[in-house]
Amino acid sequence: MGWQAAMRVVGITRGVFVSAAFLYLILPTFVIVPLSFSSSLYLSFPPPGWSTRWYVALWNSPLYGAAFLHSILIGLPVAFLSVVLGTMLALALVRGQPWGRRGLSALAIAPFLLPQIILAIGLYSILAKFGLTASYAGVILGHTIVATPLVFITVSAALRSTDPTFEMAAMTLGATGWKAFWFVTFPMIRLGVVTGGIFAFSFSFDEIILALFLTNTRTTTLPKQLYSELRYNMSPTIAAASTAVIAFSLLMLTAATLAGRRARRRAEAAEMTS
Amino acid sequence: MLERPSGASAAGAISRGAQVVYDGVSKRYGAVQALAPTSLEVSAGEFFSIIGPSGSGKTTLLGVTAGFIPPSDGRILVDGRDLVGVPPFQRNLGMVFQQYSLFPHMTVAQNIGFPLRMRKVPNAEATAQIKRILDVVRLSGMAERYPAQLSGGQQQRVALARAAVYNPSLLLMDEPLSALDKNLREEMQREIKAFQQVLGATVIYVTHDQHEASAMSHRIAIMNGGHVVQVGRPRDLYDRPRNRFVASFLGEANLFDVARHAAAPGGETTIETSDGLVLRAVGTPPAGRFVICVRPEKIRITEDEGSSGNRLSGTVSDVVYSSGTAHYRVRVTPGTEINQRTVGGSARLFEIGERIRLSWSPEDAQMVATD
Repeated sequence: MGWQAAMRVVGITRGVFVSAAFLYLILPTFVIVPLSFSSSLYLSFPPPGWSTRWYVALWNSPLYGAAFLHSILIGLPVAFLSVVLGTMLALALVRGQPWGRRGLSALAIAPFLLPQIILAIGLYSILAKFGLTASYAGVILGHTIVATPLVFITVSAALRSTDPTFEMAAMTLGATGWKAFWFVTFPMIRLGVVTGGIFAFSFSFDEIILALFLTNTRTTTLPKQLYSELRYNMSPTIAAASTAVIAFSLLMLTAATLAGRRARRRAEAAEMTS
Repeated sequence: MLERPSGASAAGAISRGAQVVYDGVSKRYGAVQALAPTSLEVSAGEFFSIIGPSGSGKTTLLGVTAGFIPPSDGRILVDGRDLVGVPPFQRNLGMVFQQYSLFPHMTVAQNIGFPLRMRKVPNAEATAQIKRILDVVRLSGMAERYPAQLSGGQQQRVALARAAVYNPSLLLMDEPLSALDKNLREEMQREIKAFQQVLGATVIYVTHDQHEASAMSHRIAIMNGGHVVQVGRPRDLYDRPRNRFVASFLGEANLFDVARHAAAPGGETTIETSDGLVLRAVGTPPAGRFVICVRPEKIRITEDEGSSGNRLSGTVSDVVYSSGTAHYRVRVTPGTEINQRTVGGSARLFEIGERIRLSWSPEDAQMVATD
């Protein structure tokens, strides 16, 4: 066997491997999509026939509509608070270079890595004391704790790739620390901030454990609605709702990717002309 | 300087340079002394360079002046006012950085306008000042470009314009030319010097390039190990280095270790070097250990067999001819090579392996303390 033939075999093997990995990662999530177009009254695979009636049912369901609205009303403040806290944390730990920076950075990421069920139990007992267990405030607080590390990670990366001399230059030119951040640092780390915000929102939008503990019927989020539907009836409306959630999440992911590509393009264009 | 109305004077006005006095300024990081107590005086309108190898404390001194590094001790008086404790954004000095640090998301005009915006200069006035300074740095057509669309030299000129548009009386420059290639660097040296003369500002210029410092400065401070070793005009430092470090840092030097020395008639000193050469120098030796320093261009290649002055013969071990100058290395003892430079002339080039005679006068043999 010649060298070229051998290379082709290696190439094909690699292609098969990568495809298999991708299918494994993505396919299970998309199994729900054909189910949502089922004509059956129950969730069963494969569907005996096709229809869009479950989408009509979803559209007409007040519960799903309310849950979607709740998810948005929780996700947006979570994204905002996480962006503010995560960016401040990143600025303090990356630019401030305090003593014990490594330990503090690990601590800043910890809420995302620690089991959320433990956070949920702990938060529940505290929030119960203040009567906040079934309020927006409670679940927003809980989600923000877990989502802040996501912003911290993306903004830290952005800050580390930005030379601090820009800020020093701004200060010699007469900018206070705050103005140096706002006019100089922020525009350069904006991509990291936006990406972190999208991640934070997506996290909140998909999160179930904290939502189970910290929401009630008036604040039920979409994942919680899906979960409780599953327990009482197995109608393909769940599949239709899930498909809608997938579509929405993909939209967010695409937004994050496009933002990244735009910034990279601009950087490349700058390289080309310099 | 700080009494000047913020936002600088009317268009066309030339600022006066500030006098800068360092009074016992030092910086310690724990047990490490980055800057030994330093006292210096920089005159109004002077172009003052600080040179030294990396880690010599020159960047620390600049950082302390700009306000990024709080000094452990001492005062920095600019026109009599102590800057210690004043935050960088209130020092009203201009600074040019090694990487230019132009804000990539702002156009040239926005970059130059940034300090004016921070000073709340009215728009119309700011526009006029930006236009005027763009004319000075010959970038009038570039106002709407982004930094990434400019060449290195153009970016450097924008950085200069941005640091000077508000007429600071003191400009700090941190190796501003080190990112440029050699030809452009020499062009920019002249340009920065001319720029400083137009502005009238005092410039404190940090570099590790002694040619650059010599070409641009009124005076130079040489730093090593956190200390200012010597301050003087470029020629003084070259002709009368205070110690071995200055002699070898500024230009090329042939240094001979002294084994023994004795006073000779006529105010001369006879020296025996550590590898047995006997040399003569004019003057009395400094206290303590010292070396003999002879600059390569002071050495002549001679044909005759005279006996006056310092005479050595040796074998050419290397020869390089560049830009009208022949650079020879001549082995005079098994362990000693001497650098010799012959500028111009129509003399033939000696080849490697040829025997030649070298001579230099005792006046050109400097006795330089080792410390």
